[in-house]
Amino acid sequence: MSTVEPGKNRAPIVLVVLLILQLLSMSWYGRTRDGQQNLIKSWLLTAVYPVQKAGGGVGSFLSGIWQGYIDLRGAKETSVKLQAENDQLRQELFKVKEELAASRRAANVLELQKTLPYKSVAAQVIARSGSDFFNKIIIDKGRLAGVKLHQAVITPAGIVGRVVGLGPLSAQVQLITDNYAGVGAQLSESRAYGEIKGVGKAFCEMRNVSGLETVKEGEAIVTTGLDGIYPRGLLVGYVQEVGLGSGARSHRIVVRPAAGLDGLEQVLVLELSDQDLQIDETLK
Amino acid sequence: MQVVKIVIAIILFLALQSLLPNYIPRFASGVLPKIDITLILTVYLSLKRNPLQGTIVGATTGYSQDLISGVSLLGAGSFTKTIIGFTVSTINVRFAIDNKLTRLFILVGASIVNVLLFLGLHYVFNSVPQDLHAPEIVKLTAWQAAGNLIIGFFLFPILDRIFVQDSYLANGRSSNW
Repeated sequence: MSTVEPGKNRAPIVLVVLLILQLLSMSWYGRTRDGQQNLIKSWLLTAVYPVQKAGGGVGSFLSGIWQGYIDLRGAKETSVKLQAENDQLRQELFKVKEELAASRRAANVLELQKTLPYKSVAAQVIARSGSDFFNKIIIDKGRLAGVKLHQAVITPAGIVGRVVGLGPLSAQVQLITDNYAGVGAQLSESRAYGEIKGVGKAFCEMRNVSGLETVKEGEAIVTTGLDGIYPRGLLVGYVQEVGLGSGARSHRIVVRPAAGLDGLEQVLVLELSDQDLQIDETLK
Repeated sequence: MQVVKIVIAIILFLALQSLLPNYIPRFASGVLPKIDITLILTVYLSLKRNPLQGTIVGATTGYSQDLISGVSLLGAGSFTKTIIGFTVSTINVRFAIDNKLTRLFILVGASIVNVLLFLGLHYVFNSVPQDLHAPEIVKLTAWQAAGNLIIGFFLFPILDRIFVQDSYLANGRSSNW
């Protein structure tokens, strides 16, 4: 009498069904890009939030222990008490400097929050995606704090991105360097309009700027407000490199984002009115 | 109880994967992270499970990672890990490869498949970042295989303690879900 092992016969069927569903998912999201909110995403963001939030504290604690171990070994190796004290003082000084810099950054964000003509929510970055395929971060404020989908996220230095995923306690932000990010932008000196596109790297590209316009390296680029996500006049970045175009061809402009996207800690989520959040269909 | 353990492990590993770039950016960021601990978990659990469960674990882990990391091609990571989950558990049922040494080889193989299939899907769906050529892909694959091997070497024994006596084959091929 033969026994049927559980899962042995059903596995290939389940595999095929799952693979077909995933291919459909890829085709769908490949066309619609992102910015789509779904319930599972909201649940997952909520489920991993406590670990991500606690991760910061545990990380600091562990790095403190590790640093202590390194210091101890250094003291043994040198066998000089003064050297150890000196190292310790340096560590403390470094720590104080770091704390001071962190407070300054937080103060800058709060200062910006006061001066902005819009309501905003201050948030802290708690996690980031590790791949250039999807430049996104997770912040510690979500639906309960008043954050909504497609809201603009900025720092005192410049724009960061927009909210593309939302949980009750946290939100996912698509950085302007993401492959599918787009920002309506304008050169500050020539006043030429164009579109900032992420290319999945540390910088962006400004496209559709006529090859007849004069573009200087280092020139600032600001938002136009025409994309319905970012208000007009916010700093996007600076021209890093210009591939000169012609009468028939646009310039190829490489843009260095003004907000240091690699080291983001505190950000502001702008609470614009619903009317301001109407997204241009071509940017979706 | 085992299902709860697995769900908690998946949530924990997803959160840790998203925290890695904060602490070890050199190894956890770039075109693809050099360490994918959710893949390590998928391989580990697939080795302990029958093919059906291995497939479901792979699909769940991959899809959740796609959602959390905000991948634009939703389903690419899931597709990859579903195939890895099914393949690893099927091979294990046939050849009983769940031992300390061979599972590390399996992890290296899974890492190579993970990178190549993930990138392949992005090529098919025209979503691959610019300037990614064959030498870079080879380097990425080698980095992830090496990164996962080193982390897996330390992580597998820890997972053994958490999922103690939780082997599909050791339990006489009976499902304890």
